[in-house]
Formats: sequence, C-alpha cells, structure tokens
Amino acid sequence: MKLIKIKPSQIVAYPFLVVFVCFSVFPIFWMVSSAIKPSTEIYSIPPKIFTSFTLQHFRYMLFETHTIRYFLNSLIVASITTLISLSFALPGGYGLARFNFKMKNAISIAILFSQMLPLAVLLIPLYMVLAFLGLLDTYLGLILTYLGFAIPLTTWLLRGFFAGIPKELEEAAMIDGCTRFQALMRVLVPVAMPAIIATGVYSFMVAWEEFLFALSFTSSDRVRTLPIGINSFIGEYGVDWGAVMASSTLASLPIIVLFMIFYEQFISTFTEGMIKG
Amino acid sequence: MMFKKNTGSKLLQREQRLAYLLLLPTFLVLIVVALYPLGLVFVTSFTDRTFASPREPNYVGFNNYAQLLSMTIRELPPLIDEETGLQAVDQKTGEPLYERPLRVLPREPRRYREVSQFSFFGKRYVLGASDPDFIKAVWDTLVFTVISVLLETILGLGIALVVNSPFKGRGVMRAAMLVPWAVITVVSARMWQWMLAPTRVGVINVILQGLGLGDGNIAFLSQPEWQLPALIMVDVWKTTPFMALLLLAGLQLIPNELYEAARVDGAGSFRQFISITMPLLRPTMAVALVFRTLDALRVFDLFQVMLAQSRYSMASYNYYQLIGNRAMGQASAIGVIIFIFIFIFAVAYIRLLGVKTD
Repeated sequence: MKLIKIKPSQIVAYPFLVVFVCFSVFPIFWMVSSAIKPSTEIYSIPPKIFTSFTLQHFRYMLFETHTIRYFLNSLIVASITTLISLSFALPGGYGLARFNFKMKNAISIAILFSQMLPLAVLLIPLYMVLAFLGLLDTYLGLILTYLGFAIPLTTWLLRGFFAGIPKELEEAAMIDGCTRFQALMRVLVPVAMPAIIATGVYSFMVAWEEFLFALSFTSSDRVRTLPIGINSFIGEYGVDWGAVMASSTLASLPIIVLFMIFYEQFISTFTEGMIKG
Repeated sequence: MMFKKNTGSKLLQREQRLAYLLLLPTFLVLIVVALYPLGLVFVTSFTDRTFASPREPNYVGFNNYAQLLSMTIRELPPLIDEETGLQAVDQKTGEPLYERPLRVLPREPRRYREVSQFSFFGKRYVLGASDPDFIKAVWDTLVFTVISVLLETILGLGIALVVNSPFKGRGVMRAAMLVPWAVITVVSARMWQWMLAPTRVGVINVILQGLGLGDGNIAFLSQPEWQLPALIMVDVWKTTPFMALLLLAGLQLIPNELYEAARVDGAGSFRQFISITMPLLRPTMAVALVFRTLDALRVFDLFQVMLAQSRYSMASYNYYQLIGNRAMGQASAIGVIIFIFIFIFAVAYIRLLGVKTD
C-alpha cells in the first residue's frame, strides 16, 4: 500500500481551502433551498436547512408575474450584444494585432479609458443620446449601450490572442491564393475559436447582469430585463423572499451552464489575455 | 532603391487604410457611447442644468465642484456651566459638553454641515462640509475599495498558491470556487440581504449566535458600524475567485526550473516565495490590482440594492443627485470627480508596479 505523504504546508492549506469552498458555495445553496421551501417555513426561526419541498414560488414566478418575459428580454438583449460585439471585435482585434498605423496608440488608449468610466457617470448623456436617437425603452437602445462596454474588452482580449498567433499562418494561406479576408475566416478564426468563445461568454455575462442602464433606459415590461425583475418583488408586506430567490436561481442558471460548458476556454483566454495583453 | 521604397509605402498605405477600416466600427461605437457622453458630462458639470426641466441652463464655473468639495475645520468651544464656571458635563454619560457644530460652522458663502468630530491636543474640532453626504460617500467608497481589494488579494493569493500545487480534488475545488463569480451582482446582493436579515430569520445571525457572537438580532444593513463590513464581505465573496484565477495564471507563467535551481541551492519554501514567486508575480498582481481597484471605486449595485440609499458610494450618490434631485450639473461634477479619482489610482499603480502598456 502506498502511503500518502502529507507535507506540513498541506495541514494549513486543506482546512483553508475547505473553509473557503464552504464560504463560496453556501450562499448559493441557501438561495436554492429558500426558493424551494414553502412560505411558512422560509420565515421559521431559527431557519431550517431541510424542510418540505415545494414549487410554489417557481409556479408563482413563472405564471403570475412577468418573469418569463423578462427572462426572454434578457436572453434577446444578451445574445444580440454578444453577436454584434464579436463581429466588431474580431476585425478590430485583428487590426490592432497585425498592423502598425498612426492612430494605433490613440485607439488603444481610448479602448482602455472607456473601461475606466463609472457607468453611473454616463447615465445622463447616454439617456440624452438614446432620446435623440429615439431608442429609449427599446432592445436596440439597451444593446447599443452594452456594446459600449462589451466591445472594448473583447477587442482587447482578441488582440492579445491574435498577437500570439504567428503571422506566417495567414501569409501561407494568402500565398495559396486566399484573400486576406478568406485567410482570416478560414485560417485564423478556427485557431482563435477558444478565445472567440471565451470573449463571447464574457459579453453575454456583462449584458446579462447589467442593472443600472436597464433600470434607467427601460420603462415597459416589453423590454425590461431580468435583474430589474428580481429587484421588484417587493409587495405590500415587504420583500417576497421565496419569489426573489426563485427568480435569482433562474437568473443564475444560464451563466452557470455557460461556465460549465466553456470552463477551460474561458479560464485560459481570460487570464492570459489580461496578463499578456 | 526608389522603386522598392515606392511599392513599400504604397503597401503600407493600403495596410493603413485596411487597419482603419477594420477598427472603424469599434471606434464609432466608442465615440457614441463613451467619448461623446464623457465630453457632455464634462461640459454639463460647469452648468446648473436640471434634468427634464424647460429652464435654460446657466454657466456656473466651478460652483458645482466647490459645493461638493468645500470643507472646513472649526474648533468647538467648551460649554461653560454658568453656576460652576467649569465645562458642562453630560448628566448621564459624564462626557464633557461642547458647543453645537451648527453654531460654529460658517453659513456664508455656503452653508456647512457636520461630517464628523475629533479631539486633538485636548481641544475639540468639527469637520464641516457644504455637502457632508458626498464627503462621506467618498470616504466610504475609499474604505470599501482599499479593504475589499486588500482582502481579495491576500485571500486570492493564498488560494492560487494552494491550487497551483497538485492535490486530490483540485478540479472540484477550482470549479466550486468560481461559482460566486457566475452569480450576477443583483442576485448576490439580494441573496446576502436575505442571509443578513436583522433577526434570527437570517442565517448569518443564527450562525454567529451559535458561535457565541451577537444576540441574534444584529441589523447588519442598517446599523452604521455593520454596513461597510457587510458590503465588503459580499464583495470579497463575489470577486476573490476572479483574483485567485488571475494570480493562478500568473503563477503558472513562472518556469519550474527556477524553483528546482533554488532547491538545489538549498533555499526553503519561504525563501523561494520571497525571492522567486513575489517578484515574478508582480506584473500579474499589478494587472489584477488595477482591474479590481477601478471596479471597486465605481461600486454601485451593492450600495444601491443593499443599503437602499441610507448610505452612498460615490456612484450611487451620483445616481441619487441625478434621479432624486434632478441636479444634472451637480451629478455631472460628481462624475468628473469619480473619473479623476480612478485616473489617479490607475496612474499610481502603473507607476508603482510598472505595468507595460504596450
């Protein structure tokens, strides 16, 4: 039998990790468990961990509120934001990585600067821009504002990834008779797929979770997104915690699923892109 | 020679045009949703513009900034008991009494109100500001930023170091750790608000009481001394995984040979950490710190959702001025001040830690 060697450092490390994982996971567990407890038991003192199981909050949330509509709105806004930001960032990142031109530094700085702006600061002028364009309370208006913070970072991450791909790869394709565009689409895009997926997931997440703009630029249930819905389960008798936790669970699902599917791509691109880029 | 140069520059020109074309969409979006709005904020901050009002705005110079940032320190004279001729003392607490700040603070050209009081060399002073809520918001935001980023860095580094060494169940640990990051901010604010409920309905109160701390009725989100610690904990919960992830990637960039060489030379693990890990991790650390600090300085959702405007961050005060007071000029000036804060932090980090910009 092989003996497992335990180093002294591990005696400290393991408990530390276990405590941290509990700290990380417990709130999620509590959210889900509150969502499936009957109302009468949610408020029991002290709280019980295992109680009877009910779907009453989910049923209420799905059939008696606008949550489904908000969910679809979020899905539409986040998906379109992702598609557009990728199709803008792909050529943009490629251009920044491959060519030297006069405005290169200015554009790079503009991209980084736009990441430093507090969203609350942009609220008024963006409101005015959207009002001018007639885009208040529309999908397109929300998408346009989300592009403002999705595009810079996706461009930056893709730039870093393209810079790491040898130039010879597309030059070989161009010698074989491809145009530059064909070389980009047929040779570079497949190679860059993990990075494209990861930045796509990032854009989706940013649009999915945004709260302030969604609160300020939408007014009808037709356009409102899920974060606003979650924040509005406040009835006559205070917060309806069962419904809030059920809709919170619903809102977390897509992101967690995306994360589970694209975990490896996401981690490698995101960390390398930020550190090397 | 001439010929070669000519085609070279032609090719260069074509490449330049192509590059501009490729970046044009990105640049247009940046102009519409970032650069133009920022310019507008800057201009508006010098006016008394009101949101949704037909009145023509006036140019007011630096008035908005002065209103936000004016501060003064005044001495509070002791209250003299007329019978004894000594300083009056509170009947219940036995504390010496001083003049009310309202009577000491100037009213012209703008009215000052109390931010806080402090004693210095046996004398009592009051710090007054023309907008005490904003000064408190700035202070709270700075405290929130410094403490949460510090905690996240230390915890994140610890986790990254542990996860970097191979052990059983590492994959599970990594995945479990990342879950909080996938939970959207509004949800995490709501979730913690529920767990931090002020009675024994709240699971945190029950756990603390079980550990012998508190009476089970701590109002984390309405007692001033608990508000910031509670928000910091939520932020640490949500963003430590991100920090750990970045630092882990940085650790994996350090070549293993360095550690082997150090071991051959007889360096212990602590020595290895100080002489190899820390210096080589510095660039990664810098990037992570910049990202997190800039993010924390802009904090909005946590304060807005969890504290329900009983206390502000810079960004949520900005929102309050805009939506609550419709003071667009004032709100714009707050925006510019936040931007300047963020800019100072960014430049300081880049200088101190030597981040490469290209």
